[in-house]
Amino acid sequence: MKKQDFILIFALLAVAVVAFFVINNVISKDGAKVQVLVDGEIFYEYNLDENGEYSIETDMGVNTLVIKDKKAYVSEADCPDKLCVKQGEISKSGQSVICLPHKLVVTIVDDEGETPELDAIVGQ
Amino acid sequence: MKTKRLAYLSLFTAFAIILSYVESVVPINFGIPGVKLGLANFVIVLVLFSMKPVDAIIINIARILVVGILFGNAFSIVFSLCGAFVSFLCMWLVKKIKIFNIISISVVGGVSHNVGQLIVAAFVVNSYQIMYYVPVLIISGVVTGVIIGIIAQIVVSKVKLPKIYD
Repeated sequence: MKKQDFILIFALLAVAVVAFFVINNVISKDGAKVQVLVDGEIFYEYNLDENGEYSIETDMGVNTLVIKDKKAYVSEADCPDKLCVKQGEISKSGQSVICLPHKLVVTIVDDEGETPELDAIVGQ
Repeated sequence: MKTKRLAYLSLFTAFAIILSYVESVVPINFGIPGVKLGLANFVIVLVLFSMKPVDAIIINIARILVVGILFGNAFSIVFSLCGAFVSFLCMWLVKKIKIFNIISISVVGGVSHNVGQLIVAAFVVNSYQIMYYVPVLIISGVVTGVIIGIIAQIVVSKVKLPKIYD
């Protein structure tokens, strides 16, 4: 490997590390509510403090959402790859679990019901 | 189309399909959902070094269609095509610059493949929040790209690549 190859690899890794810290330190705080989005629209909203198990049925299939001890996760799904189940627990504002085959996004939001990035928008 | 070119196109396509198949049968798990080694990219890197860019596109499309129809679904075909297209463009550009060696080309291919697919995914679910996955996919792209790049470098130095165009 030549010098420029190392530079390229380190530059890419640096971008990843910076992106990671921006996402985790600047944006993330403990969430309050769980939003369920299907095809980009909010379908359900649950309180992160209340434990419960919800079955989310869409045209594409069924996902089971579990909220327990201020953490949310998808416990079961009838999609082929089950990536949403493997994505595990989420609790921080802005985190999300995504099920592509069902066009489903489960995301954590703070008290205002806004995702953190939207805090920066003032007016129109 | 020259017979020789046709033969090598078929050979490389078959090679890429086999590698895709091997990878789906024996998944090398990195512990992160959606991350795989991308063995087929090895073939595309080799093709970039022995044939014309358009040949790499033909082989990629043929591979994705065959693998998608045999083992995947319409979803996986669209995703693979987008990832492969973005990764081909980036690898071709990096190769054009000429100061980078084969490992860099493979790394750029791995990273851009992941990022390309993620952008499509963001459009499909209509949510930008999937971008939280970007750092993970960049790092995994670098790691898999280095592995594939080292293999490709060894092969290119040991095996005499065919002269397909006179």
